Amino acid sequence: MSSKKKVITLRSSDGEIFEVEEAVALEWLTIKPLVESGCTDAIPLPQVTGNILAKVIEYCKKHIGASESEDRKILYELESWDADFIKVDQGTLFDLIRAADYLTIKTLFEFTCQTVADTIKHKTIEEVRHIFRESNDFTPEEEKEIRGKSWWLQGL
Amino acid sequence: MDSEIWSKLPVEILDHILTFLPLKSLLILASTCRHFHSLLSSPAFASRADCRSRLSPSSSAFLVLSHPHSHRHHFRLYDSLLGSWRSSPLPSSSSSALLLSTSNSLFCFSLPSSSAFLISNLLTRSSRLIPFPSLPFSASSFELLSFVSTPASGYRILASSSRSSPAFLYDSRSLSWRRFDSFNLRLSRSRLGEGVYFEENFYFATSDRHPVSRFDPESGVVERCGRGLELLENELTFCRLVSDGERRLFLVGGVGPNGISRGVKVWVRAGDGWAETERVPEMICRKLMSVCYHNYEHVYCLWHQGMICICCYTWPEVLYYRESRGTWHWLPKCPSLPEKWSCGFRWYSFLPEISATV
Repeated sequence: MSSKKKVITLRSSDGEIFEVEEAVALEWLTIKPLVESGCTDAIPLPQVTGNILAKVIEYCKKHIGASESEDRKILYELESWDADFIKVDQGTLFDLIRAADYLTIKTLFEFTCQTVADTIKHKTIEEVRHIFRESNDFTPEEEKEIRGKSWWLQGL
Repeated sequence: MDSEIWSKLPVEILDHILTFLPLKSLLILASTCRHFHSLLSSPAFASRADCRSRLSPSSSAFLVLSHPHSHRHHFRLYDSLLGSWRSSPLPSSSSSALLLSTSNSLFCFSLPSSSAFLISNLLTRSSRLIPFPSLPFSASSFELLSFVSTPASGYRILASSSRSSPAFLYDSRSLSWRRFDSFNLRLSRSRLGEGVYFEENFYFATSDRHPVSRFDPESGVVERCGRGLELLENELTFCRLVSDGERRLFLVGGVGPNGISRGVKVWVRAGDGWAETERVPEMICRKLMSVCYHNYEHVYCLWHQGMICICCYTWPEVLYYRESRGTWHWLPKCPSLPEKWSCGFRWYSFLPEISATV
């Protein structure tokens, strides 16, 4: 028996080639069936660029096995590693969310969504409208009614 | 944040991000646009968001104080996690509605003018009107009223308007009333008596020789369950029931000769009997007895977030037993209450949840 771990080859949209352990690739539900079928060719990922794919692999390698750990020290260390990992510009964060969604990587998807939620939770309604380019499509009566119902939450 | 980037986010990902918001931000941001607002009423979205807010330490729990003189039917809120009074009161859903009971996140009001109950989730401002059951049913007073809601199986109202009349049970799963003619209980004399829901039965404090009875809504049978309390037969001055909503049923009772309480004890339901578990320390008990003037009709109990609260209709403070620590404390009077209010203090437990549907 060979002790060498099986390696999966991935190709990003810009043609970069990456190699990841099979165990990491199996966490990506979108490509899991391909990996399980024993595909040996490079798996094309036309929606993910090389620099984002490198970040995704970095995250998944760090998290494999560690997320389920019950050792507080490991979890604490992982948490501070995550905090450094996510210190990226908004464009990268956006691309990471899209990539995690496209590849169906639950841990990364939840983590990046939580990061965005933490950023918008203290924003005002006007700010949020601007960020997501949502327009105020309530009638003045509706808006008055809704505001009347939620004013008491402000002090919560 | 750059809208060049974030406005390109697919809508289903944005929806998912919104479920990570704390409950408060979520409710405030619901007025961003129609789409955000519509998410609040989607059950799948709401239960996911609730689930997260329960896990996060920022979830909230309140004791609600209702008083007949409160300004325009607003309720004062005591945040039991922060240990402070909220500055803004909670508005009622209708100015003519009388608050009867709460259970988790739902409020049960009566609307005598419409001969109906009004069940409200005051957080999402959704409500449902449930007409009183057919006659004989008097809208002015309830001999008995129990309101219970559970996340898994909706809510139920058990109501009876006088001692001799039948009892009616409303179930939100069937959206209908059931009538029980043989419901014949001598309820304990308490102006605020409610049945307590525990293990799919309603338990009542009764005033005959057996201090507790239970009603099984499946079979319609009422039976006594005072085993373990026989020795106290002549000593029990009053008793009230409290359930933690899950595993335990408590009985809070005054003990003393000739109908005068010398002490207050707590029993817990154990098998088909009762086991004494705790007693109110003497000094605290004395204060409790002096604030209710030994008039036990004014005393009622409720469960709130790991605490048994012993309240008195005539006193603005609440005595509570923190179960995890085994300690007794007084929750001080709300500082904004006018001095002259001496009576009419009604407390309820309120655990906000947006997924509780009416």
